[in-house]
Amino acid sequence: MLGSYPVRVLFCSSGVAGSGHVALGLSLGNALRRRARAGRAAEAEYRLVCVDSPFAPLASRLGFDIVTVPPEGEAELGPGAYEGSALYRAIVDYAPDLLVVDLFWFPLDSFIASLPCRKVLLIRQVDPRFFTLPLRDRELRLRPGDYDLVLRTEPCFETPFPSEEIDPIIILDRGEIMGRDEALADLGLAPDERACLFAFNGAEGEGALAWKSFSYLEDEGWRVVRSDNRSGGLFPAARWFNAFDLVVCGAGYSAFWEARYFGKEACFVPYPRRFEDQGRRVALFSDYTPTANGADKLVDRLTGL
Amino acid sequence: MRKVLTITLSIAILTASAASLSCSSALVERGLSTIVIQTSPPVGRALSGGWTMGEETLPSFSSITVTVRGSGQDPVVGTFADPSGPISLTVRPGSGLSVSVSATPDWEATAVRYPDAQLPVLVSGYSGGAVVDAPANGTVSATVSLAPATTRIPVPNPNGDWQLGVAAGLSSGSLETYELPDLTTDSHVAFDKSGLLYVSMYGNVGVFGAALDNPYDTVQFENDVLDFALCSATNRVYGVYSGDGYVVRFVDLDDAEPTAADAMPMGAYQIQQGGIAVDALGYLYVPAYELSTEASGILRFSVDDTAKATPIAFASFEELGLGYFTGLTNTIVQDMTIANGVLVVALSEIQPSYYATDLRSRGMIVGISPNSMTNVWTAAAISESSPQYPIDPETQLYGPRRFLAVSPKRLYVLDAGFSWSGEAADPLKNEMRVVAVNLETGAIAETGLNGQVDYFETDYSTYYMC
Repeated sequence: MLGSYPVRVLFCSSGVAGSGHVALGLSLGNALRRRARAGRAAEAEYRLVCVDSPFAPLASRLGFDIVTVPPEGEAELGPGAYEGSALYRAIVDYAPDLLVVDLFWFPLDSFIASLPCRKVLLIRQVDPRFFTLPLRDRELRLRPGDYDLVLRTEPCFETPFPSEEIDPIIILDRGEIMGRDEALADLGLAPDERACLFAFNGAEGEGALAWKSFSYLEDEGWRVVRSDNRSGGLFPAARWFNAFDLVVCGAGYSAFWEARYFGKEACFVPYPRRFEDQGRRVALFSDYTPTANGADKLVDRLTGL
Repeated sequence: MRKVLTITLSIAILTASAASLSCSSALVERGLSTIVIQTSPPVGRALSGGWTMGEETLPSFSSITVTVRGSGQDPVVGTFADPSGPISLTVRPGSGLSVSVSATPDWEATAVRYPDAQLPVLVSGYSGGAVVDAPANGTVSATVSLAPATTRIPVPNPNGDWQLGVAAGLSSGSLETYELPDLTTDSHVAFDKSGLLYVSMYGNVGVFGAALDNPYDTVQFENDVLDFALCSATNRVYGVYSGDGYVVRFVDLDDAEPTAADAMPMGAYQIQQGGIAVDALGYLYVPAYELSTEASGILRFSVDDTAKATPIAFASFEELGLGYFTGLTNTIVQDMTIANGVLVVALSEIQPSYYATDLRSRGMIVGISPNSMTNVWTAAAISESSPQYPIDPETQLYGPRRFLAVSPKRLYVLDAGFSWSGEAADPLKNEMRVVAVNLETGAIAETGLNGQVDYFETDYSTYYMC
């Protein structure tokens, strides 16, 4: 569909833990722009619809359209009720040709099958229990057949249903970040300084907790640039990566794979999540560098739908 | 047969009780008085055919406590373990003496007396009172109407698995549970004047006597009602269901074959989500939207014999101080009832969030004068400037959802929402409990059953936080 004529693409994420869910949508948006700039497709209309979080404003920093909705539960999203939900209204009002759903399948369960568009579900490493949601009177179970395409967006995990694997989705391509001199100048860092980016955008308080273990860097002469996108910060931080000799960050999907994709020396600090094993991600992939940006592969696959 | 309690002042008891009186010598000087009390069932009709034990009867009691108060006198209290025997108390003579009677029902003994009756076994206390003039050296009689005053606490779906839970009180260590597969996720409960329990279920409202796992009767609504109200004035059960908008439906129990009928729409008002209540005069109360002012509020209206609904009075939520009027708008009226002559409305605002600054789990209970439609008191509202979840759970509410039970001057409310644990992986902690609200002041009088009562609300929050 992403061929010579414009289409309307909607990225939908209900995740509220950290900036990564919004960043994922922005990664897709950037990839669509790249494809249009390259003349390989008409410029797509693109919007994000996300559950409201402190990271929603990041979209406008990159010039993308975003609509936020409140977290909604069974009372709003269940059968018979969903038509009044903010999430459903946000989707049908936009009337997308393509709907790309980030991981959180259950808010759309009541109506995903009825949406008259192509649908893609992006899955990353999660516990298989994530694909069922026990309710009081019934159990929701992901119906992969409701989607035209299910993609696994990081290596070495399986889904309990058929899916395709693509490389991790990164917000910027390697050619889109500043060179070292430009990045140093932009941040006011001296070329001979040892510079560290300390960036945490997971759950509130995680950065402060990690800082207790890494504040020694300043004692050892490192120039530490701390970034928290709740209150501004560098975004996308990768744009300034070439200014830094070391990155200290969480081990959520976006932070981890950005650092790996750009080959940064990094200290990853995994935090517990209910359905995601960040420690496993660090253990398995700290020496693995993706060869390509999965965002471009994602756009390729959307083109074929 | 009416039970007769005779309060006789005797010399022997007078002597024994004199120490509790402020001036025993004056008693002797002024002589004795005899008060004869007759007890009777509540004044006014009970719903659904009246007392199931018979119009003229009360249950057997395991104990009766009589308290006599008078101006300038210390109260005199007598507890009688065997109410079938003579009851005597020592009081000083006087005018305008307040006689309060409370009684504990013995349902096992009652079942022997009335083997075919549907007993309101959740009633745990009856009470009534009278004012008498007790002349010296005289006898006075008074009739005390004993009505259900305290109930055990029914909780629909306390474990989320289609059971009715029953707690003896807020400090109960566990709940009795009864299988009720026809409960809905929105099941509400109410007691009629005789203390029988009504529970909204799929398509009907069940009436429960001694068998709490099986309704002995049902009021057929032919639809799932979101809330219901029992009207002794008209012998109707009113409900609200979601159809073409929200619709008031009622069943007249006086009809030979009671059938559900919809009240006619009120053109100037649209009924909104949130419940229904009915007062002793038969006037109804619902959340409504007033088209002319584009305001939401509480509407007082009547429904006549032809099902015509007539608006009587309207007050906006702002005028009633009912709601939060800044910030997010997940503010929902959850339940309404008439208690202690006050229209009581529970409202909550629930906004799960991974961030303490965005988390909203709060609510309020507002007492409204039915006649003037004005705010009488507000319980437990959390101000906009505070964290939007309880910091002091003993005085604040997480999210009041259902009115469950009553006791004198108290209304028991299911309170469910979130607190903030601050744990990175799972920062929200479900909070589910029952609170007792003082119906005169609106203050939270007591809390309990923490963690023992669940409330159906899909906890998506931990899934959102992946």
